[in-house]
Amino acid sequence: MITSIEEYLSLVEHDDNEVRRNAVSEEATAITWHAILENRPDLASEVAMNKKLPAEIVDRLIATGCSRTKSLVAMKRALSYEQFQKLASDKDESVRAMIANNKKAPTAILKQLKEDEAEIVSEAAKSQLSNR
Amino acid sequence: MSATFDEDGKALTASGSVSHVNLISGRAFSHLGGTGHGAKGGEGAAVLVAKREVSRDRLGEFQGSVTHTISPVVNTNSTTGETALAFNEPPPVITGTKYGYQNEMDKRSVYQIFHGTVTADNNSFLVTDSGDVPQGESSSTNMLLPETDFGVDSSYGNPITGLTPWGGFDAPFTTNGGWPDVPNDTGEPPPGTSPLTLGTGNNLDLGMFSSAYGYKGETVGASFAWQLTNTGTPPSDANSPNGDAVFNSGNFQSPQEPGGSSTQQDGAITLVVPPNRIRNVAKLLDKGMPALQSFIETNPEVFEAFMANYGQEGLEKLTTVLSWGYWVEFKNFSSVWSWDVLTPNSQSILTIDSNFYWGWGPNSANGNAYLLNNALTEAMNSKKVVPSKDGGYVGILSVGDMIRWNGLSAHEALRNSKHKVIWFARDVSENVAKETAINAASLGVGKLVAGTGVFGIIVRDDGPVRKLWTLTAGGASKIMKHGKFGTFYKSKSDGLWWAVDNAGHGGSAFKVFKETGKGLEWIADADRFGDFIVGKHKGPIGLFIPWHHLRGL
Repeated sequence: MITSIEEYLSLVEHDDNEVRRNAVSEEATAITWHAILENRPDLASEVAMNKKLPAEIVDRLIATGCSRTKSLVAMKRALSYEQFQKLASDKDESVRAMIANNKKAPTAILKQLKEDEAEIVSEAAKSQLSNR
Repeated sequence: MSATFDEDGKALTASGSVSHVNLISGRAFSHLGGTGHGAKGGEGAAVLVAKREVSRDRLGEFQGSVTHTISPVVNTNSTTGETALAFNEPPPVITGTKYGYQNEMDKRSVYQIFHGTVTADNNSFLVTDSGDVPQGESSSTNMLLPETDFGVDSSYGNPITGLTPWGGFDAPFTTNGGWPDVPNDTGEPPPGTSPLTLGTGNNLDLGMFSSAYGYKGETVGASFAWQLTNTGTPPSDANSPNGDAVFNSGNFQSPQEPGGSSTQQDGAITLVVPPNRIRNVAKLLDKGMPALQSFIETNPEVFEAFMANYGQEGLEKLTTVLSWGYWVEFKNFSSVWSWDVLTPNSQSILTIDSNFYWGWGPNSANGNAYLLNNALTEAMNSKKVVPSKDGGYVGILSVGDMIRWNGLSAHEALRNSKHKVIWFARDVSENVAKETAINAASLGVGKLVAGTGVFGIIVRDDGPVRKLWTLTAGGASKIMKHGKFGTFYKSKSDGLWWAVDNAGHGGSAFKVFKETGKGLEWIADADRFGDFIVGKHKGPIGLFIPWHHLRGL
């Protein structure tokens, strides 16, 4: 359990890769994550890699994150329909492509992405749909 | 046991059979071998832990192949059907042909320590040095008989009564300048000494340390010869063993039980790790692959042989032996250690206190700690159990050293290891022991053994060995080539593009990119298991790779 920004930084900045793994696997409260993102917005992508983020943190990352951050979020499989939808509507085609490649993306959203103007998105969505 | 070094120091071979033990149905010795604390009395099981230093400091950067041979003998009591193990061992002579210690002189040291736990009362033992033979220009040998550090350890079992410490580290069996000048080659103890009387629960440690110096090309080393005889009254049951154990001329000779027989057991293990293999392992280790897995990759037949002969325990042995070569080869720390744990019944004796070994050194009181099966030091959150310093004695390992030399990290080992992992620390403070035990428990490990100043953990991890992440054409929906960064594979599963990270900084094994309309955009680095790595910021080079820099395959 990550309980403070200092603790999180000690993990993320650790020399040992195995210690840094904990930054991905350890839980933290939404309050802690908010504090981290407030103080270190440059670590948003690292936060996005965490596998146990509260929904409200995922929402925040979707709303405020950079392309890389949103792409990392778009790889998550435990997203809500709304979160899928927001990412599928992102202006960045690479983010939309991540959703199009997401195995848990709702079919309705994939059908939407099948018509995407970006080929990397539409092709991925078509491929996903054909496998379902 | 023997060890050889080739002319240019590129190779080391060491061979040895696990030394002397006579385990006679738990009557006299239930635990013999090892160093230091051992199985508590009354376990009735058998284990031998033998540790040897076959070379020591300042030998230069030798690289080595390692041969390790174990030749157990099974003694069977034809009346009771009970069996005990013994191990023949040739005289531990080391032949050195390389490396000057000073002025082209070789130096080799050998020691052996045996540890036994008595499980029957009214045993008396005569321990005599019947001929230790250091060879070389200048040699010294110390016979270690029950002595404060290595002798009877009152922290286990009952204090020995009637003990006359006629051994000791320095006296009376110290020879300098030649051999043989052991005072009691006749097998009689020195004047004024008396047999040891040991009772149930007593531990008996016997050790011998030899240092030999010789000119380049000479044979240096030592042959051990001890005799340990139980002079106590045999049990009234004529068919029961009386616990005699004789160490003689480098070969342990197990006294025949009434009606018993002795047979050589097949299946001796020989591990040979050629130098080039070790170098291959080194490369893999440098890339962050765990030691064991690296070894399996490069030496599958050796691994299979170990597994075939030892099963799960083979992994532990192998891991330990690997730490040899690893140590020698990569750390330029010219000392080689080995140990073995041989058990007639691994289930019954695989306990902490029968499966560790340690050395001694000036910092022993500060927490010299050793672990079997390297990987789990960190798993036990060793950051909280780091001794103050490395052991001061050559070859002494600290937990910190072990961590640095390990290929596996703790959590990784917990996740990926199939084998039992045993961790042990000695002389840790009580608080540290408790704290570490708690940490270990939080990791879901198995049995914990903790006591004042002594603490150990057995980790049970039956999880599957985690496979390394590999990039294959079969797993790719598209493959492209880059002039500088090599081959890029588009994953069928997630649409990301993966390439091997040739730089490999910070544990990175792969570069991972997402696809855009204009090219590939770096999104993360991944480790050898394909897990993304946090906190490793990408430099500007390779952050974005335009499509026109890539060509299709």
